Amino acid sequence: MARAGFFDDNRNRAYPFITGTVGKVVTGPVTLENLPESAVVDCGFTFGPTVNFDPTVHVVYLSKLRRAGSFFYFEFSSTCPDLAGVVLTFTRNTAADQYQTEFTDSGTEGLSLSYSASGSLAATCYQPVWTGFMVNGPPDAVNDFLSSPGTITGTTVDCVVEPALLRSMYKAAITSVNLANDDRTRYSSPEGCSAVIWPYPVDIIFINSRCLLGNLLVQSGYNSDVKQNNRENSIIFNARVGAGDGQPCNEIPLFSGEIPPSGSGLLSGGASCGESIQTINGINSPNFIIQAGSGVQITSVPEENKLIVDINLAGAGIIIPSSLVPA
Amino acid sequence: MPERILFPEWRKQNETTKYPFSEVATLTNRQGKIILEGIFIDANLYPIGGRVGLYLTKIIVTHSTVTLYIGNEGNTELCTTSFSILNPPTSLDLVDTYSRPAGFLVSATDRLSAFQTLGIGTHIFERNHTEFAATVCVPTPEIGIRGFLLDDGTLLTGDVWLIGTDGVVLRKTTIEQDTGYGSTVTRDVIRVDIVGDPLYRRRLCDPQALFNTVNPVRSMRFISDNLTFECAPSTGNISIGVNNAAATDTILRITNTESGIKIGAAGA
Repeated sequence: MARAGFFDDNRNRAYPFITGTVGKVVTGPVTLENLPESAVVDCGFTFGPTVNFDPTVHVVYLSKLRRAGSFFYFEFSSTCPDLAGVVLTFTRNTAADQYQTEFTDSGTEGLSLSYSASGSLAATCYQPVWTGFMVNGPPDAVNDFLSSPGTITGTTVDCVVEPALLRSMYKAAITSVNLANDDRTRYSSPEGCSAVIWPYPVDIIFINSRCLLGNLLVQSGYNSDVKQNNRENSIIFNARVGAGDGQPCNEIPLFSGEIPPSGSGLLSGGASCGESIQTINGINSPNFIIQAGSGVQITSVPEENKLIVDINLAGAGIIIPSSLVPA
Repeated sequence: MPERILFPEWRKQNETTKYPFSEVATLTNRQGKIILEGIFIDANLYPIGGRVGLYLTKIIVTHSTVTLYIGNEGNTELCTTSFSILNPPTSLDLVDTYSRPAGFLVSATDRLSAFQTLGIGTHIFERNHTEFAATVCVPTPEIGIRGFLLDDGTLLTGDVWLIGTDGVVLRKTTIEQDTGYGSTVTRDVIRVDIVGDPLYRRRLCDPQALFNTVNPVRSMRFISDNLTFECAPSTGNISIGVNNAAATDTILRITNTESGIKIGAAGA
């Protein structure tokens, strides 16, 4: 005797929902716990690497059944906070055949990505955060259940999907590589001087590039030595003066359009080596001493940053040539 | 005549079968330790690196906990889970060695308590004893870059940010790479420049504010009667001489000292 198939079994039991969360007899206002068991005969969901789905705590459930014209929309949600506002929606025509399978993901424009959360999703390289499939049962039961346009909204305890049909890929892969640079140490004016004005925000992380995908290469730049060790499956980054492309001739900007502040030629601000006096007569000393010898008096006017060098020969013994001595 | 319930509920149907173990699993190891049918009701196994032939490889029972290991013949500890034998849960969450989700075992509190009957100790099982049904095993080969593993054991996954700091600058460039088939393809390149941080001392002294910005001498102005000379360094050095080159007789002397200069008159 031929036996019923898997889908035939499921149209007569709660699966893929947990027993007791679907197919209840209507005793009051219709809710999703009254959804006929035959409406959905199979489904499954996979969560992406950035979704911290904990199957011992979080659930997936049919959150909404909507009818608009000749279409039904099955909307699945999760109690996982990472999926707040991100739903998976499956569409069926009222005249659809039974046992039709549909795959969808949370990046499907206009359906699952129809919430305001799509804005935050855009910041994650537009990769779907979860995907799923659904197989519908005979459409007649759903037609009878929701015979006119409208929406039935469920709760987190209605139509709860069997946990073994869920698959969490949390931390299972790198979804993208993004590049940024921390701010450089910037010059600050000495006490009493006017503050440096930067023509852009500083003390932030400067984003260089987002969502690098596919095959990536790493290149040694200035003073850098990047080595790949196939045996140990590792990449080693070394810093060595003159390695890679050698020493740079100019400063390397942290972001496109970085310019020095007004009054400076350096991206980090301040004076370059040639713009301040490093030595006098070849002497380099943090506190340079100008010493008065015989016949010279040196006085200072600190408030004017002034030294007065008076060569007055005072106290000096003078030898007058005999030709100049008066007779 | 025995009755057969048509269309039993999913979990009810599995309670009296070997599922999620394979039908050919003996559920008895070489030491005669038996795993009862129906101890698990459902499962979904997807450890990274897992292929065909996932099975329950080892059970460690202590006075208070039970630890289960699932793997294959290449790696018998692909993933694990443990639970309190005194307060068993209704389901078990499997994780791999990097704490990544690796699967889920559906059971019930009273069913998991049955592991006590194995006795305290380590119980080893072989593939033919406890292989799981293929339908609950999702092959998850380790293709691509799964994560960045740091020296300290930290595993970076998801959207990874590489941030250049302390004089390291990271930039994206592109190159044209030969495909070997007469064409080229554009590849993204992460360029690493190590250029230093010239003002790093300020950062090291921050936030204690131990660094006071030096106000260097940028120019010197020499004034004599009505003459003024402004000397700004082009190379960083200023030279102060005693006279111009045409003068042959002068008593003025400027001599270098250890940390400066001395201006005086000769013969005094």
